[in-house]
Amino acid sequence: MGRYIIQRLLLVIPTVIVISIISFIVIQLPPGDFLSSYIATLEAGGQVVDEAQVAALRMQYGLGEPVYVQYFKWVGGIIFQGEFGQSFQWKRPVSELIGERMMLTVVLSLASLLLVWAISLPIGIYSAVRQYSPGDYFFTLISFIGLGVPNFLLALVLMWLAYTHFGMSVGGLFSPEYADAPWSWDKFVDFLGHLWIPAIVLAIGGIAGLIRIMRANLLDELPKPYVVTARSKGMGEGALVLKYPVRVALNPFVSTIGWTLPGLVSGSIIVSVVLNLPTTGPMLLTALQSQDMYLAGAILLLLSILTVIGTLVSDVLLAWLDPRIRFN
Amino acid sequence: MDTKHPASAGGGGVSRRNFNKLFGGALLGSFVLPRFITDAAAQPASYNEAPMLAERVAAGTLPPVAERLPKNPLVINPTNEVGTYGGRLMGAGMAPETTNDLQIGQATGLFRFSNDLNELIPDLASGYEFNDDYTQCTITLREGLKWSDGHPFTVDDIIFYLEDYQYNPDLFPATPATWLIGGDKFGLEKIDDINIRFTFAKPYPSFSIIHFSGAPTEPFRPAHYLKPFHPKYNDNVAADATAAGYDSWQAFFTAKADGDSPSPHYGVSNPEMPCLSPWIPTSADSQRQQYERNPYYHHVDSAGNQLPYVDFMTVEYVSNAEVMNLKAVSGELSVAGLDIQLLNYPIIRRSEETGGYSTKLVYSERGSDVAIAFNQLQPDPVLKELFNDVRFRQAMSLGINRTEINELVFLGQGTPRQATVNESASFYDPKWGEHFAQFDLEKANALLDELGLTQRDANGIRLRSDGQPLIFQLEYLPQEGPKKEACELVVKHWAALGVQVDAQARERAYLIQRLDAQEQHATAWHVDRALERPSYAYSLDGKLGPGGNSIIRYAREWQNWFNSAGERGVEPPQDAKDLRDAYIVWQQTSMGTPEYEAAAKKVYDLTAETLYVIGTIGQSPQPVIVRNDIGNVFKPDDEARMWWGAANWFWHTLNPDQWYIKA
Repeated sequence: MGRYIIQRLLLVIPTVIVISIISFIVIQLPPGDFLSSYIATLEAGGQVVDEAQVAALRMQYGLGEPVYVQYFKWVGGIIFQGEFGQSFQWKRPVSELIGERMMLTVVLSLASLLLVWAISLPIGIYSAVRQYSPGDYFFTLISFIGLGVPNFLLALVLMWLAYTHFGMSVGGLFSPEYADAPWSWDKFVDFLGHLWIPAIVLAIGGIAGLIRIMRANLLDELPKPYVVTARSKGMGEGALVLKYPVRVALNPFVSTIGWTLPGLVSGSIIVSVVLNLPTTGPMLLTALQSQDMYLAGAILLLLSILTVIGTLVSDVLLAWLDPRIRFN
Repeated sequence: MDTKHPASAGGGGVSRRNFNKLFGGALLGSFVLPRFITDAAAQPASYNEAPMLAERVAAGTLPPVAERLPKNPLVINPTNEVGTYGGRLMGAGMAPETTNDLQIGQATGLFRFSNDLNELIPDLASGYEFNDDYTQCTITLREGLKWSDGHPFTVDDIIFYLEDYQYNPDLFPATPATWLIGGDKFGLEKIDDINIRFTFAKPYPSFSIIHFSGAPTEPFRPAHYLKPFHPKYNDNVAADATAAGYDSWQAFFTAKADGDSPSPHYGVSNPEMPCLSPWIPTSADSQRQQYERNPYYHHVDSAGNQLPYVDFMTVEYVSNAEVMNLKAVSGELSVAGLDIQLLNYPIIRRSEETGGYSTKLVYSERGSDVAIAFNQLQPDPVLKELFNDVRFRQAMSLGINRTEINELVFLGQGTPRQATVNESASFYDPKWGEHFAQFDLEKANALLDELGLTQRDANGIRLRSDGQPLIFQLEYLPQEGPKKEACELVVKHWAALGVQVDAQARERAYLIQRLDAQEQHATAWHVDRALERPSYAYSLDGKLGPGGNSIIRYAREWQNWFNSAGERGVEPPQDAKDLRDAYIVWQQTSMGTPEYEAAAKKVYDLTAETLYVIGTIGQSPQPVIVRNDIGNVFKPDDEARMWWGAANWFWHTLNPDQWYIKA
């Protein structure tokens, strides 16, 4: 087990390196760079920008150098100084910008993840145990609707409902009066009031999938001999189901933790843009659109590290949970 | 010829037209109070200040208001009534590198301008004076101006900005064209602390510093703050730059001076740099910008209250236009205009009561909101010949049903017109707007037949001279207006002429690449800076100038030829040369003179004749929203048409410093 973990840890490093190279290149792929889109924005606003001025700015930003030089400078800065570079758009260090938004991003993702699990586990178990009952059909229907409706559409609808019926201020995770205020109970309640929309929207897509998986796995397990044995030994139905088959059926849940978390973080980009949340999602989008390469590169790098580590964690968890894997 | 424009004569700085208006008003018995008082004799006797500043004065941390203001502050007559101090303006903005509704109001230049840019009012300056042949201009500042940290603002700050910054080859290998005349730098002479004389290599009545388009020209920076970041005054600057995490001292200096934007009011400002704006930026993070009042601001109202009335300002970043519109209709924003979409007009009007705001329709200053230009240097020789022929362009212009576009896309509120100068120009002739702007299929078809496009294929598409069907693309960016909707209607109209055109939305960087390589067929964009003053001062290089500009640049090689005096590029045809010469002659005249009017008319006559840019609808409506608790923004029942655009910085012309929050 220990050797397994160490082996996996060692693999993380080359994986992350390759990902960083690829994301850096992909960011640079659109024609032009930050300056060309910036100048286009300026010209649209009525400014005339000189070509020579552009050349001077390009030199200043270090955008005139070849890609690999920029890449090594950037990676060097990360490894040796912990500096992720400067954002062109915001004119501030990238680490500051990401740091400001990281906590809320993580909180939102965790909240959605917990919500997905909390809803899909019981419903999946119920669906399997009461297969083909009206309740089963009802939940199946709801979950497929949730899967089929695009999550940004759902976000818009919920946001409009919240505004018209609950009078909630739109956009953002806080009402204007609490935005700058220090944390207090009222602020926390306001935060929860705003959090439920994005959490639900993000969760709904995942719920359907997990319900079906849970249901299918459990249906595989329930007819198995050990269940019959336990029942014949007199175990109560509820305790029986929860203690044995569910534990086996949890396998895919655990193995998907790895990419559920970054899936939530990145899938939430669209929802965050629609709902105007102060998370890393909208920041990544505008960074990509204006080719603010250090900011976009840093966020992508962080996301990929999350994915890699998440996968590692889920593999380890799975090995711990399922003895069959350990002994294989 | 009137070459002097001092502020001391009564009503100085007011244009001739408005002066007549004032007199006319007085004769009718309803005296219209002038907007700004620049006459020293009309200054208020004593000054008041905001309570939050009075506290600091009492605590001894701030000098009293009379010492903070210059000797003759600019007196602003409030739009409706004298306001009350206090409160916070709330605004929202999109991407961090552009400006937003409230930040626009921050710009404080040497001169202010009226909404149509025709009237010039001395702001930080108290006046300007040309010599007889326009080779020199002396600008006089108000005496006693101070930066937001209390340090005096003098001519040294202007000289520092130009000499050590804009003209410095280490920072700008090629000086920006705004500070050059005929390719030469201005001669700078400090006469004394408040007088500076500019000398020009050739006569320059359209001096860029006294004209305006986009951000008001702010040719100064706080020298006392920036000198430590400049190698001329600090030998250690390279080491300081590296210590602060910058690659070079240039990047360090530019970041400190807010220099990589055209103005400190684009995007994130450096909160440590002293400024002259009504509000000082106190912080900017990735969520919002915060501002606080500037104790040394040099405006007062007619009762002697130092402006601004409002204490604080907050601008929040939003990630998309939908959220911006939703925030506006829910009454969260004090004012909103940028990114408020005309298509949302019904919702905006319907939510006025619940949101607690009122809406006003203002009109874009654009000569044309959707304009089309054909590539005059198209690589395909058959298409090139066709595009080069003015009769083709005339036919295509006649084939556009502008009424339909107006009704469907602009709620019937735009003006169907040809692409030309805005109708508020003093020399405007309506025939320019009507030139080939009718919908006349018969005449259009006749013109195309005249060009030899008489054969048609099985689908009814005209055949070119080489037998191929006449098919080309109309490329556009689906941004900054309803380009997509308008272009799709235009190609539908052109199909009736037997010309098949494919309307294609492009991604910005890709389209710019195509334009640089001159591969495009036809492109669509808008024609802005169409008000009189920016047209006069800047339009030679603008969208109606020979060769075009930005997305409707239709002949880049002509511009290269012009700019290199024939060395590079492709020689333009005679009418393009005539158009350019007409612009140059116009820029040599002085605003308001008969020669000026004659030259301007010649320019736009030629623009109409050459018809390089075809306009569809111009001066389209733009809803702006003002919350009910903000006073002094608009005059109630004011039906006069107001102009909106990047060229005049709309909110700035409404003087946000005299807005106030009603209790």
